[in-house]
Amino acid sequence: MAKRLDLLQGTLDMLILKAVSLDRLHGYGILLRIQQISGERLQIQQGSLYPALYRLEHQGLIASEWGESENKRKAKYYRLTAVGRRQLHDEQQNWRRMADIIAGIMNTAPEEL
Amino acid sequence: MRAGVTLRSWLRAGLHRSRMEQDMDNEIHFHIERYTEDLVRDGISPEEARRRALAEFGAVEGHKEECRQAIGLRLLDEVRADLRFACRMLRQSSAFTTVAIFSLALGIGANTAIFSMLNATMLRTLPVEDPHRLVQLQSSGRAFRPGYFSNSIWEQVRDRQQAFSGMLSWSTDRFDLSVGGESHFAEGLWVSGNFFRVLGVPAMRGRLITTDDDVHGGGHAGPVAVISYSFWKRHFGGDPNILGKTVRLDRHPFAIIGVTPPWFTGLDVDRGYDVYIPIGCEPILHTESSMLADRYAWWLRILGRLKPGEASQEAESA
Repeated sequence: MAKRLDLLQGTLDMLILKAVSLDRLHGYGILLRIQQISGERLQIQQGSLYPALYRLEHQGLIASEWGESENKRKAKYYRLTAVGRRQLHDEQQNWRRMADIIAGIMNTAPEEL
Repeated sequence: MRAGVTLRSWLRAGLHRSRMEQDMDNEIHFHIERYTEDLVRDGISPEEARRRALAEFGAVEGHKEECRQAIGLRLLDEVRADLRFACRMLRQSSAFTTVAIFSLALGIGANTAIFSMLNATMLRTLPVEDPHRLVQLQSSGRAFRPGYFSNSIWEQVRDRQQAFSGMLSWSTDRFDLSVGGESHFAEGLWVSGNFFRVLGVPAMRGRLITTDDDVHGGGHAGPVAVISYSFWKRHFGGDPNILGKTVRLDRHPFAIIGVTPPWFTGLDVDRGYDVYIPIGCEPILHTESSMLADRYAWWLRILGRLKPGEASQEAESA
């Protein structure tokens, strides 16, 4: 297995929003979902997930409620709010533009200048 | 809307602090347990799985502190700690605290007293109808007693003026209520016949003084008096059959014809009055030296009610 990449600074929030936009998830579920979609190639510091969740909920981007997990235990589930959906949309667009620009710079060959 | 959500979240966390801490613990434990189970399922021994789950989660307390910070609870905690420290310091230096509290109390007290005084004399208005249309007559030139007029001047002004929609005059006095023996005094007001009509004050019981009562020596109804609500309660115990009873003022009987409403306390906002009697009855009390015909007795004050749409300057020139 290839070495896992550390998460790029500032991208965790966006990944969380994306994960809960697909499904109602608890904290551990969000972690699994991101790792699953990334093909286990991302390294996420597990504990750092929770401050991010608290911050996003405090900002009204996600909402939480207590529910029952798959194995009949109490778990806190998160879902995306309407405000969060707009925020995710904006961040996605910004991310695409940024990725294009960076890729463009990195792919520049000497003769193109 | 965003600000509302944030404030609500902060308040909820601040007010239900222990509940929030409990939730945070539960959430993190759930995570670690689930991860441990998943590792065990992959064939790792339970002890080793737990150790790895804890290690990979990272410093639990550190992350919890970051969670608190994320919703701004750190600020709340710091303010609380500061307050506690301040209280402790104040308790330690009790002499300083006493002086500080004393000077604050003195300052607040003095300000309150001054405001109450200003409020009574300048800010509050008279408890009558449309008080800002009332103007008080002032004497021009060098008057013997500025702002006061003799009865003959008042009667001439009353009968000839056209600048006001109505005029009234009044004078304060104090009457002895006792029939003999120890004196009890009532705060009294001599009023002109149209006093209550011009002010727009209605009777709470009976009727109020009219121009028919304000005749030299008393009108058809003889010497009459109107009493204030507080005097009716205090002196007559709120007697329901008060009308027609007699009140003795300086030992002269006056028939009570009415009671004023509780909110009417006379023309001085800072004091109240007990009885109102017509100016025309003055000779009854002062048989030997009545002030009605005395051109040098400056005892009446005069108010005029401006006609609608007329400024006080016009009335002044008239």
